[in-house]
Amino acid sequence: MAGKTTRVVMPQLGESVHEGTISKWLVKPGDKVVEFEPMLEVDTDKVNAEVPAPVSGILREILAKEGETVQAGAEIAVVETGDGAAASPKVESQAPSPPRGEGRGEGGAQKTEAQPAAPAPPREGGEHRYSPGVQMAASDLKVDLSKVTGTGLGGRVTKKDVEDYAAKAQAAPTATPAPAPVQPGEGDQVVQLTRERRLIAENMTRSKQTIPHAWQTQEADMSGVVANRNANKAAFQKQEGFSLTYLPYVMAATISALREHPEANSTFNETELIVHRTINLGVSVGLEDTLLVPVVRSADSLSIAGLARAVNDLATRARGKQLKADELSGGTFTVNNSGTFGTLFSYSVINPGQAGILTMEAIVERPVAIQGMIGIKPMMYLCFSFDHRVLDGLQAARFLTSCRKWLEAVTVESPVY
Amino acid sequence: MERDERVMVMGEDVGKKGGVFLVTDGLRNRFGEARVIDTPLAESSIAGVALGLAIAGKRPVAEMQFTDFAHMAFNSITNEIAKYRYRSDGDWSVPLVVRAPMGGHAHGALYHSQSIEARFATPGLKIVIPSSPYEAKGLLLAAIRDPDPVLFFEHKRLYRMFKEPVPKGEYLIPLQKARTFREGKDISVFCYGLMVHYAAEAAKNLEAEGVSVEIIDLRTVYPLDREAIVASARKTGKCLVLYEDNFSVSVGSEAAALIADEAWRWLDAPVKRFGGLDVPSMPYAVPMEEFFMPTPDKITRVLKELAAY
Repeated sequence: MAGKTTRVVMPQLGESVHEGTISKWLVKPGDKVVEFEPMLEVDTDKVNAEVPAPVSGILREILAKEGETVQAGAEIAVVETGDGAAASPKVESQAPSPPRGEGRGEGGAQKTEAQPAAPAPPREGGEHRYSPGVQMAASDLKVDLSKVTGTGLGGRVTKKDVEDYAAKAQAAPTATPAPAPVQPGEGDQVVQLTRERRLIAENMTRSKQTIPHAWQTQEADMSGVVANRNANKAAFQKQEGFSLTYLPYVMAATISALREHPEANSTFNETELIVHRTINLGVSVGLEDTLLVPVVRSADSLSIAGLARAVNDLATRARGKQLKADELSGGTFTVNNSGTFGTLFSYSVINPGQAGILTMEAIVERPVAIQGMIGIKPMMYLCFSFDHRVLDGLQAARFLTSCRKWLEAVTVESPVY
Repeated sequence: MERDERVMVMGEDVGKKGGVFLVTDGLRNRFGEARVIDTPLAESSIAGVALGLAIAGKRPVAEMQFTDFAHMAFNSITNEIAKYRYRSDGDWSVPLVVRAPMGGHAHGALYHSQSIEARFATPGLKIVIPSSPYEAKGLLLAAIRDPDPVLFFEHKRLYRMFKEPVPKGEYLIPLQKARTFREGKDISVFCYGLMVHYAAEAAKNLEAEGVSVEIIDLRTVYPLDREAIVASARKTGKCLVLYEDNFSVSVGSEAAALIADEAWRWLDAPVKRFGGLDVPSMPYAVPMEEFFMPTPDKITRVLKELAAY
């Protein structure tokens, strides 16, 4: 008789990651697996992740082969645990622990995230038993019962739930009819969306549909920053092996402004605002065919050089598709550097869960008036998209002003390390 | 009695004393000994004499001092009075009213607390239980004018529980018609007598939680106002049938069965009953009486469970 077995399930590798493709099994049936040791590699939409074994034992069976895409929570393997002497086999499902650091703020937030709700008790009488009253109300009000969330005993859908659902549906503005699908014309090329593209599309749509975006810009005199970088870049290149860019300066300015205006470093939760203590700064990294936003954790503890190193490391690994799932989530604010592509104004889309995104634009030498005279200065626009539910124009302007003043206060002598 | 000379009152201590609860106080002085009769302590005889008087063309209002003692007249009431019209093929009717104080939560113990409506429910009889002074007057006048026998049970606790203005002069409240005591949309409570007021207290508690409770005062508990019951049950889909009588084999059981029968397709929860305990008697000790009775607190709890279902 076999011993106790544990069924290994596909872990959820990120907040919005619901499935993964098994790229490689690192063990084969009969092999010993050790708790917390890598057991397989999973390719999600953005990263390759190693999944550790949830228990120690012998791998008995692989249920999902390499190349197979499975939903989070689906069973992928059976591991035999214990000494095999148990009289009756007991089967349990166990998900490997998800990668660390999934939650926002890692305990640093002023309000920690709610514990995941206990699994709902099984619905009484199975999934699709509705009371006659519920069925009648659903038919009268033309409600699809599968879409109604039950609030009754054991998650039962009540008549009231159906009525509330119908009332809400009626209150919601009728959706604008979708434009007629465009048929590809002759010679047009139809490109299937990649997973990354689909995910970006979903995220951007969600952001624009749920977050009332507002936008402001200020112009910063970058003379000091340019001088500082020029003074340091040779030594920096020699010391670090990569070049010093303007991005870490803007990141440092952002961090300083977030410290001054913590409400910009927050998450709007419908009924409350979670103001994060830790600053986890997301940085947009544009690749040829996709966009990644790796996160520099506790960015407020890093110097300009430290930020430069962190960004360089993340960007390098992003290009090699080697980022871990938790390096792509948990950001509390985002800095975008589209200026590097020559843009002057960007109306960036906020990452859902954050209160704003700051875009640094191209640094351009421009004639400017200085104390009644005209001079040439390297100027840069700072464009700020913000969640108007969290910040009003006044707070946003103050935040931008802090960023600008920080940048304009940099001199040749300002330390990089 | 002023309007109709045939109307007369009879019972134990109803004349000189004016009744143990003073319901007939002053009638003897106004209408005289011939129309307000003190009877011997013999309930069977009271019912039998009233039957004879009714057949002879009078409109007797007979009082049983407590419903508990009406059992002595059980044979007369259920075997004779109830069946007279049927037995005579409609030739003779029995236009009498039997009044009796009923119910508990008045510290009356074994012989002064019973709810006997279900036991006396017999085809040929109507059983009316009013829930307030205003209701009592309108329903009693209608009962006296009804051509057939009516049992009229007044809740003892309601005699002294609250006051309300009662108009002078005549007004009739039709028998066999329930009333909506309180409008609501989430749960219906079907009840009568004292329980109407206990249910109203509980409904207020539920209102604080956003649950809207409808209260249907049945008024005539036999035969039931089927239309009113079914309409409210269909409207809310969640029903509590509330009564003070013993839990099993009650007027409430009948109402619950009716709802299950005729409102099934509208129901969103099992039909719930809440009543007194199935024990031989209303206890005397106060905590035990509380234990027996459906109280506003207990009703609140039951309603909350139903709301959450």
